Amino acid sequence: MKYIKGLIIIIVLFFACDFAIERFMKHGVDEMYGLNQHADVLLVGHSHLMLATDKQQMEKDLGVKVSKYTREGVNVSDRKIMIQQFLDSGYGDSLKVVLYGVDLCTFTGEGLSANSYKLFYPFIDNEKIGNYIREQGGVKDYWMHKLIRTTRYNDDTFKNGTLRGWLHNWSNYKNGTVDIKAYKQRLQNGDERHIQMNSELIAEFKETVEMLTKHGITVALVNTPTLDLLNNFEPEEYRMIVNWFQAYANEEPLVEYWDFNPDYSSRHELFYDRIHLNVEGQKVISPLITEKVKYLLNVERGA
Amino acid sequence: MLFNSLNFIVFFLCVLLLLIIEQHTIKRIAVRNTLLLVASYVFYGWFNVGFLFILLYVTLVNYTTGVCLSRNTLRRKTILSTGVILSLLPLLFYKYSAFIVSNIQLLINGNSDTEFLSKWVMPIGISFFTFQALSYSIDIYRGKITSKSSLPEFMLFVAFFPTILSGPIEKARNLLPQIKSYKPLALNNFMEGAMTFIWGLFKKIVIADRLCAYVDWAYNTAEHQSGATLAFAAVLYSIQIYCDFSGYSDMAWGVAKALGFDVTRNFRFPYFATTIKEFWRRWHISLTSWFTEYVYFSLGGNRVRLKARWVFNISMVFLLSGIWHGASWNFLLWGCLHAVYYLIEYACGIHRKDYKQPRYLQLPANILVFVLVTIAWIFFRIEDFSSATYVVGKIFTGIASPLALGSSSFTFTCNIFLLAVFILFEWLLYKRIGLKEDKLGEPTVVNTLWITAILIMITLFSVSADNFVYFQF
Repeated sequence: MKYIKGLIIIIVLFFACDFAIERFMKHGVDEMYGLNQHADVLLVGHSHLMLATDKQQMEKDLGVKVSKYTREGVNVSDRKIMIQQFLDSGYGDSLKVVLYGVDLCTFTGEGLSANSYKLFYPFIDNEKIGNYIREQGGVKDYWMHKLIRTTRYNDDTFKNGTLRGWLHNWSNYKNGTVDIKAYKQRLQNGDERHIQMNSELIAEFKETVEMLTKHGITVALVNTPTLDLLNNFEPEEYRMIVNWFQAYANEEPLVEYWDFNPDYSSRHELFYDRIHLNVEGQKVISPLITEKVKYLLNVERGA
Repeated sequence: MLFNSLNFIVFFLCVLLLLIIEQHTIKRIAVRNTLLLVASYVFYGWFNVGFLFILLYVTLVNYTTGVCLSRNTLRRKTILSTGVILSLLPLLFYKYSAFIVSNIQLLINGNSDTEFLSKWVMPIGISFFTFQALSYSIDIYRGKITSKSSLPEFMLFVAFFPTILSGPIEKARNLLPQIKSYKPLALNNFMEGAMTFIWGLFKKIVIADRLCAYVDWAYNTAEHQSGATLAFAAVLYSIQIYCDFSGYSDMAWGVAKALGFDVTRNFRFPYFATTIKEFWRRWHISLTSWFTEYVYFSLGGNRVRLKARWVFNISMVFLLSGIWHGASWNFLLWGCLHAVYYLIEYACGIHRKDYKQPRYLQLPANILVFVLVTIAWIFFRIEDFSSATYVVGKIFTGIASPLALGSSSFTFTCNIFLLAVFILFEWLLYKRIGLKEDKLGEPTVVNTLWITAILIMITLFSVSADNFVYFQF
């Protein structure tokens, strides 16, 4: 009998700790991504946009709340879920501008993590996200994370995010400069992603934008700089995708396309690697984005 | 099916359920053993059905050898030798043929091509179950086993699923009597087994697999890393391999215990050893014991007239232990290093019965043993001799250099925290302060808090890996 009692105590204690720790971590993650606040500006994208922007400085300069919901490796489908999540959270009603990170490989559909759905584990209790995880990861994966709550934070990114959320540390930057010689060698070897225009991803992208614009939210498609050597790897395809974004923005009244490549992609000292800006790059690009957002918000206010 | 997978948990619970039903209805040892035998074959066949034929072959060879030995009083040596050779054939083919062929080719042609042998996938755990089966034949030959075993009992002994993949290598005289006697499932055994399993799981998927990422990164980019980084990676590898293998062994022990079987504890806190001799009494105990009993004693052990003969005997055991890990020169070198360490200790008089280590020397001796073992692990981990010597050289010449934190400073900090927690728990278990390895199943406050903390750390910090270091051996 004492063993059965002991076993029950362990199970109860484990699930109590599991619940308490999960609550603590969830709050940290929400703080980190700004998912528990009414924000005027929402940033959605992967590491390009993450490293190109300084959320705290943007809030200071704009005088409004900014939620920076950017994560490594999220693809077009993930971003749709992320935006949906914010709109459904009860904090979406204040949203005026969404900065949506785009780049030459937005519609490539390969190269980003196939397991990016795992980045949604902390939000599995949200019905739509829960369904998305079940679709992508399977029933076993879904139920394990549903029942044992701390497993949702198994990835170090979330533990780091929780800690930073609690400490109100929103900085994202990388030190160091791209190794041009090594990258040229890589290009010579043909070791680079190929630009594609996947029609399913384009449709999903359009749905995402429409989801926002129908609420009267302005969407800025932000193409933060990528290294000129990369942009010139497949110049025709590159021009095609840039033109596509531009044409789409021209068509849609509430969509803007901001391309920082023409002015900055050749400034190699601003890059950490071929696609990510370093801390100096962030200092250059973030204020430019802020200026453009300020203009949009002023237009919104009718100033 | 790996111990650290959901599949295994489901499989194990099904086996347990069937055994509980059997215990409350049929209560017959033959039925229990049949259930366990089928479970063991399913477990092993899960990796590759073809492996079952090798398992069956080794089993039948040794069973037949055992039968012939117990029926014949003449030509017993010939029977045993034939049985041993036939048992070792698959192991030699899968594990050593590529090595032997490539070295012969190198000698003759100056280059080697063993591509044609690479399509033969080595059955997991072949070294373990072959040695386990051999212990039966040798023990019968030596008269250490007298009672007969039925074929299903012997099949279960060789294929027993908790130990088949990576040991412990059980001796027939330990496991077979347990297979022959009916010991009902008991909750205290289940609890003790479950706690040990969880501790092993923690060592494997929280410590070993997390450290593995840093070690692989550092060694794969050794030419770009500082001496301090490589030294740190070497230390981490020592801990990684210990946690990987002892973690697996703990899980195996826990699964067996939950089923009511007592198998050998394969590790006894080896990194707290203060001599190399003591290290080997604590590291991979079942293999050391196997080599001691079946190789060292066969060669004469220490009951030889010439000291040189004893040195040869000791060296052979270490060299064979090295080669047992794989057909590669680096394993041989690793065995050589340990033989040298052992013999130097002997020459220094540390092995004398009247030698008593002063208390103040214990910590430095402990550190020295850890450093020596860590250096040997570098040769174990890095297959290529020139790369290994490069790493060792860089460590000794550039130890006072900046330490690289790996891909993420946060992950590095997490790993250091977890390592500290692990070392603390290991030390508490070693010193038996609050936690006692043989009483982990007791429902005490300390055990309850400890296991809850371990479970939470598993759910929060584990990383998924689909292999164990020792599966390759």
